[in-house]
Amino acid sequence: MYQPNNQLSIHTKSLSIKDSSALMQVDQKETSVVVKDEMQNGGFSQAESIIYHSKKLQDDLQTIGMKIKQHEENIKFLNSKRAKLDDEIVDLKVFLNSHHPSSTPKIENEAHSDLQSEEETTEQILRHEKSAAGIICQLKTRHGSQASHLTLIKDVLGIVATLAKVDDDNLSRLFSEYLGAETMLAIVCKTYEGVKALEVYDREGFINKNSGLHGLGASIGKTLEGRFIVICLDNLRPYAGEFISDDPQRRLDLHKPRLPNGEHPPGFLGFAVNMITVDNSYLFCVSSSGHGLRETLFYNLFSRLQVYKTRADMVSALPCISDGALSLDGGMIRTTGVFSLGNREDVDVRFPKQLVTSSLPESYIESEKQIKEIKWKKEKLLEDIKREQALWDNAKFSFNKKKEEFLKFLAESSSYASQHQIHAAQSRLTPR
Amino acid sequence: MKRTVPWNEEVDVISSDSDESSSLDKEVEINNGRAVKQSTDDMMADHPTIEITSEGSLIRRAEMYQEYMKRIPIPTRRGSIIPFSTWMGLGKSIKQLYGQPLHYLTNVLLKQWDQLRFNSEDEHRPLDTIIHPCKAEATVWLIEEVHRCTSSHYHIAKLWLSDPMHHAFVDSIFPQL
Repeated sequence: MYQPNNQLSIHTKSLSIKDSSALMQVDQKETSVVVKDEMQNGGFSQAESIIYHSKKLQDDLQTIGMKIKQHEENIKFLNSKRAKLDDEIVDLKVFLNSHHPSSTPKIENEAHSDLQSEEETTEQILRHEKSAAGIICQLKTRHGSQASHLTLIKDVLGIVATLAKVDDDNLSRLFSEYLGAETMLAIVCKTYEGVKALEVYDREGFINKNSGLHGLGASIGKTLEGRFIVICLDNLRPYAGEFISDDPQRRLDLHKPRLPNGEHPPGFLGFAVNMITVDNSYLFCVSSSGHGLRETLFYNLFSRLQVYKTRADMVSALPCISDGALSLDGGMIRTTGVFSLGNREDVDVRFPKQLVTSSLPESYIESEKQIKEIKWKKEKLLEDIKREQALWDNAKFSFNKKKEEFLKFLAESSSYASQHQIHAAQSRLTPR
Repeated sequence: MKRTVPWNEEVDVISSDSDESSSLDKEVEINNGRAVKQSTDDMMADHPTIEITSEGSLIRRAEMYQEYMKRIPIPTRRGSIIPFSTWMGLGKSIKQLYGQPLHYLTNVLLKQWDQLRFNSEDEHRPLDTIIHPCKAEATVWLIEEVHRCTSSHYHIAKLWLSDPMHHAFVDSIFPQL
């Protein structure tokens, strides 16, 4: 009885499959059970199994320890990557500063003529004094530098009307009529946190007039009335299709309508979402998933709205219209089957006109874009670090748990050993 | 810490990063690698394990990502019925409801499933009238389980290498591990 037992427990180390059930028992049950078993059998194999079990615990501790070390090294590695990105940003900024063309007077003139029309849009927004957009605009224009520090404003990208440019005056009128004043004045936020910050409710469910945008409005003497739209970029469903390749404006490669004879409908001019000009800084990496404004905000606003030359063209192309259509002479179909008749209505907020010519050199715009991209990549790297840290914490937690188990086991087995010193001495003497 | 040869460095980064061609990218990496090597001499000499090639570091990051995703358990109680019109939209709702990220490969797949509907006959029919929300959600979770439990980080790294914006499909949702 003595001998085979001994052999078995030695064999389990190499042939764990053979005796796995017995092993599992020792592993799973608490050490007290093991000790109890030993009292009953009073065997030397139990002492051997204690040694085996403690060795196994030790091995486990070591593997977890190695894991922790690996996670630490990974975090170090990621941090060094982050330092590299920081370096690149600094380098690019140096490049931008040294190439900044603002010193030349010619550009200033051009910028000024452009400001004119942007100012117009701002003025139009400011005329809506009691609207949310008006309050935000006022804060930004009159209290510019201070306002940007407000956490409330930080997440706000801007008002829809200020985020795109339209060259053609007629088109601009049509687009703003199609979207309507409420949408043109909608506030665009990056995250839902930003949306939540704009309005706070009390316990009864009423709007808390002292905080959020309402509080801000009150502080500058404007009470916010009625509804206002807030658009959250991260919650929008972005366009899933392809982009027109090599297009600096990143226009969407939407399928153009075709008649049965394979030709485009006569008078078809294009899609509204591709007819606006989005600022270079808003083309890439604006939302947290790296999308620009065209494929998120403006695709959601315009969807696949088609633009035709005349009302007659539009009507003849009816079977090809999926999400709505406009015609330059004022025809409007909001969605399939819903026709807007009657006279045009001018909406008093419009997109500003496009820059006449881009005054900045290509390389400058290019590096500006790159800074944006690197910054986005750095943000994502920080998320990677966060992930690795979660793994690290997890490993540390299981290490501590294992350690406790090990110490408890040691304490219990040593108390057993002192009780049965003879047995223990015997086990130590046996050859391995 | 400033690099010793900032000017060559910058020109390289600017000229090649814009067109994202892989051969040029590698060139930058080599240059950057040199820069890092220079700095390792004085600063990071104690971390010889830091990989400097873009492929190596992508593999390492993919390994970390896969290990993290493997740790997240698939939720067991799922009684939801989510009306949806696109696969990506369904994915987004699932993430919000269960507070879990979906795997990179799942996110890419959902986008591809959305794309394969383009220009089909019932492109504009809401998707949940074609596939029942329960079935669709179960499909997403099954695929997610496959991706979390079985994908190799080498495969992920290979995909990431060809997609410089791959982080757009890595969700920033952090469940308690």
